[in-house]
Amino acid sequence: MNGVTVAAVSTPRGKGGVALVRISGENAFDIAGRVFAPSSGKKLTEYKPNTVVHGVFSDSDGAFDDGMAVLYASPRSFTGEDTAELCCHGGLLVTQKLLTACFSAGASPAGRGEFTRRAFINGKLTLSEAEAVGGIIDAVSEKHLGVSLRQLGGSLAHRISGIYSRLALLASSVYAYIDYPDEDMTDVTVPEMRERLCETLAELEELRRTRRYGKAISEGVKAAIIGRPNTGKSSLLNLLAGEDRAIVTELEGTTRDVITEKITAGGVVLDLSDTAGIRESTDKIEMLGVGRSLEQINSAELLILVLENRLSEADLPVVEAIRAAGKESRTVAVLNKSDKGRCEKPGVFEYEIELSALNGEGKEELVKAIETLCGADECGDDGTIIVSARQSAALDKATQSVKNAILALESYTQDVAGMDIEDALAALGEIDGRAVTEEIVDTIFSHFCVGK
Amino acid sequence: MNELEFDVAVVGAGHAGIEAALASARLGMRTAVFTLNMDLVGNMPCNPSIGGTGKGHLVYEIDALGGEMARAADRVMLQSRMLNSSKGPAVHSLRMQADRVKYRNYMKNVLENTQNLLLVQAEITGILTDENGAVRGVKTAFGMEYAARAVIIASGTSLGGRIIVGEESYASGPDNTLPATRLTADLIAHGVKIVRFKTGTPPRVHADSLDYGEMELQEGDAEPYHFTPEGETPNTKSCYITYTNQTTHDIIRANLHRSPLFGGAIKGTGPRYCPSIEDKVVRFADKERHQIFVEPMGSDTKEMYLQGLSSSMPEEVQRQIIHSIKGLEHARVMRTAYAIEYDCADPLQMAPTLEFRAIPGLYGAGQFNGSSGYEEAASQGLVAGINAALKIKGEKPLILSRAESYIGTLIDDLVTKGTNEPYRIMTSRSEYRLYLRQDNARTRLTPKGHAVGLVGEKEYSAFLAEEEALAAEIDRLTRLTIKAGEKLNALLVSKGYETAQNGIRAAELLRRPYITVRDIYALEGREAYDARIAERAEIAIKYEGYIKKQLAEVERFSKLEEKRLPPDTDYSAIKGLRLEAQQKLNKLRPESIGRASRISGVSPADVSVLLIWLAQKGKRNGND
Repeated sequence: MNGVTVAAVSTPRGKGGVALVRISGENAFDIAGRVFAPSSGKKLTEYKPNTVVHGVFSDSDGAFDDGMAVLYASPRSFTGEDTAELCCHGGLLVTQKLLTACFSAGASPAGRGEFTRRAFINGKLTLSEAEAVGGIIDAVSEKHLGVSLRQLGGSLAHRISGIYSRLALLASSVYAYIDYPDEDMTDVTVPEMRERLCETLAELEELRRTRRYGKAISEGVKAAIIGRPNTGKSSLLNLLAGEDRAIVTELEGTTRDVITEKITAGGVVLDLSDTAGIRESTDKIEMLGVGRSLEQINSAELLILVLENRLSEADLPVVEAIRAAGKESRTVAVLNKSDKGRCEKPGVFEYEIELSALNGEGKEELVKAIETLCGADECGDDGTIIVSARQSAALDKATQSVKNAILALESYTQDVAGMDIEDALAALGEIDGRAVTEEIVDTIFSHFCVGK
Repeated sequence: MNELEFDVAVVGAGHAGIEAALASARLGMRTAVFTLNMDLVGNMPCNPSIGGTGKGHLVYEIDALGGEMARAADRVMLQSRMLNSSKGPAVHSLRMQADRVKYRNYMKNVLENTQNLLLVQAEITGILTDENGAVRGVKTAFGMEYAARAVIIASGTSLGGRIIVGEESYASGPDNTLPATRLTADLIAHGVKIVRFKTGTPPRVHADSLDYGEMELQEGDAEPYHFTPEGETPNTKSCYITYTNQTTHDIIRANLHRSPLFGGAIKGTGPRYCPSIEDKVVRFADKERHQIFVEPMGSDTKEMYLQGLSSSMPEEVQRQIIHSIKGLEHARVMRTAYAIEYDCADPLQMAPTLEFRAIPGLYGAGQFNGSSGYEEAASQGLVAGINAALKIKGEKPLILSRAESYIGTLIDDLVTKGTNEPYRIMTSRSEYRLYLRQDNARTRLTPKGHAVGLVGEKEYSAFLAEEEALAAEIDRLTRLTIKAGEKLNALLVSKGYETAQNGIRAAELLRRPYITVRDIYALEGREAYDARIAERAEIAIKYEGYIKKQLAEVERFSKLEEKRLPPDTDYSAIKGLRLEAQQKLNKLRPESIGRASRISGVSPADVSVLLIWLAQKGKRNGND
């Protein structure tokens, strides 16, 4: 399994000053030597490991870029195997070319998380570190990165271990009573037990509520900018994206199809779609666009409704579509063009924001509203946010077990409720790596082993 | 047959030794069992009772496998009480007060009348091994040598025993018997790692000197339970409850410096679970009182046992303590409480068969393995006896898993985690409590006992018949509909439920917390029924959801137990294992991933490394 030498681009896809291609495995040095020629005229393998060497990258068509190469000898590398890191100029084309050259030289494509998995197997990382690294790799937003880093530092572990020890204490007091029926032990009464379980349940629910925001900062939220034609929807997209992505004209109906951009608003990642303005039109192509806009209203989790400085008759079809989709509470109304005159807030939506897409005034307020709609306010002060789907599933399991324990108190006896408490403990143990079951290892590594 | 040649030699005829010897002999092995004192076979030097929380489960399991303890207890019982009966069925635990003299006589009689078995009075001073280090016999203090292909050491607290009372101490076994003084050195010379533990026993007082009006009476159950279906002894004796008080605690605190426990004279590690009264007063300083349970020692004796007053204080302090307690003000002490230190083996040296990994043919059982309690001892004796016989016969060993028994849990804990104090079984030690109940002990273990050859054909058919009757009754209750009407509604209202408009299935009704199977029988007018079957059917139906969940967990557990680790694995060569885990795994050589995961010092991360290593290895082998 480790006999295969793999290569992958280790920096994010897309624009960037430089990009890094990593090659790991037995033949890493050899493959690197085939695609990279040092400027000195020496062979790459003649250099000592951990030395930065300048040279040119080439494939069968000849040289295509220049950059740096470093060799790391096993076991002193991230994966623990012989590793070469090749640094070329950023840009999709150059990076792709270099990677393809590596494949032609004998490397296989690395699966998702492959380097981390190898590092784990070779004893360079523990399981929880491996998972945190996964989070850091996957981080789309800076917020996600911050949470992953904090998780390595243990803020979630701290919260979980607090809940864990309170539940364990409850379980042990039940067992002490069961195991020593003759001793004069103070019993935990059923109402006391229920009260403590309810407290724990509240704590768990509080953590679970952070999952919505956690998902928003890691996986992203599907969002759409909607409104009648020419209210400045595309300008708003450009404002949020921070650059010109959509064509903006004075003409109504310039945007005829849906344009989707991945943007960040505060900590939240939005898959934000700019849509065609919604109105009756005779233009067939425009009406196709309008149909797609209506679909967006139904499928998006978050809507940004763009109005002019007040709600006018022409906006009503859009407002009606929002209502029909039941998305009023998931909508931020933006009164755009506030630079063109006094705004009148319609007082229909929970979030109504005055904004100028032209000069950017009001952007911060909009971002804050988006964050709030994505659950930012439901996160506690310590910054603990559930980002991983696995953690979330374990938390759900723990919550269900505590609920079962409360039910068991009604229908059975305390020792039976104790079994549900133990289930909850096991689920919590999964979150912070206290307990590892085969399923967890399989789940984590099937995630890492995609394509293998 | 040469009278000095045996298949199996058992050292000690206490609770572990008896079960070991009986199992071995009943499986056809020529068996010798050695006792230091022919009059103290099966002695109960501590409390005069069999069973209790968790321990009751062990006794039911011993019976299910074909052991003797349950039958003996049923026969000599003075009082029977099902503990925890107000709690879930998983933690119902039977405790029997037992006549200790009758118990001894019963056991000696059974040993004497078992084929292939010889009971011998002798002190064993050493084991004999061959050139390969395998056991070949034992030698006695008088210079005799007995040949044996397997030796089971069940030396209890007699091995290197030393009794301590206050400033006094002397070499002694329990109950002032002769200690075994030479075997320890011989075992050490054979490479056995010995540790020193401590336990103790409370004073005995004269029944006529107690003021019963000042104590709480505790009678046996109105319908006494027995460990075996054949048990029928009625309750004949009562127990009493009283408490220590502030004066008691003051006396103890004022004399702490005279306690060898706190003065440093006792070096052995004592049990947390059965601490001396001075231990309790010091450790639970804010507790206002501790319970004292007054138990009869037998039907032909006036001695009463004061559970909870275990102590190693000087005798005069003990007397002050006793006399400060309500109901015991005028108690006349017949036996002084004492602490006892003894030698035992570190159980981490043993495989789950209880055989020493480094000395083929040598087994340990009972307190010698670091446990505490008659029931724990008997369980291990039974397993050691069976495995010694199976090994000699060249058959597969009997290893009971945690998921199927408390016996398996007890042994797995001992040989996997080790213990640094006398180990006591508790229901909380099991992850599979709701499945490991007393009522289904036979379902879980009798087929194994039968396969091994300890459960006879007649008993086995009776077992099968009961299982069939149980299945039929569960099925009947699941199909039976109780008609709507006055009788049903009267029951529902009396239990605090709303009345029913339509008929209800009996099983459905039974799932309600306050409805019992007897209520349903009353509704159907069913008078004659087997109480055991009725109770088992009720549990199976009432707790069905939980039992199913538990069985799923058992399944999951078994999967990890089935992931075998090759015995010749070099753990230091597995990349990613932490150093501590490598060392522990190399030392204990667990048979499976499951057992590896329970070794202290092997972290979840190490387990995941092992899982991946195994998977890779399997893949490699698969590709070859």
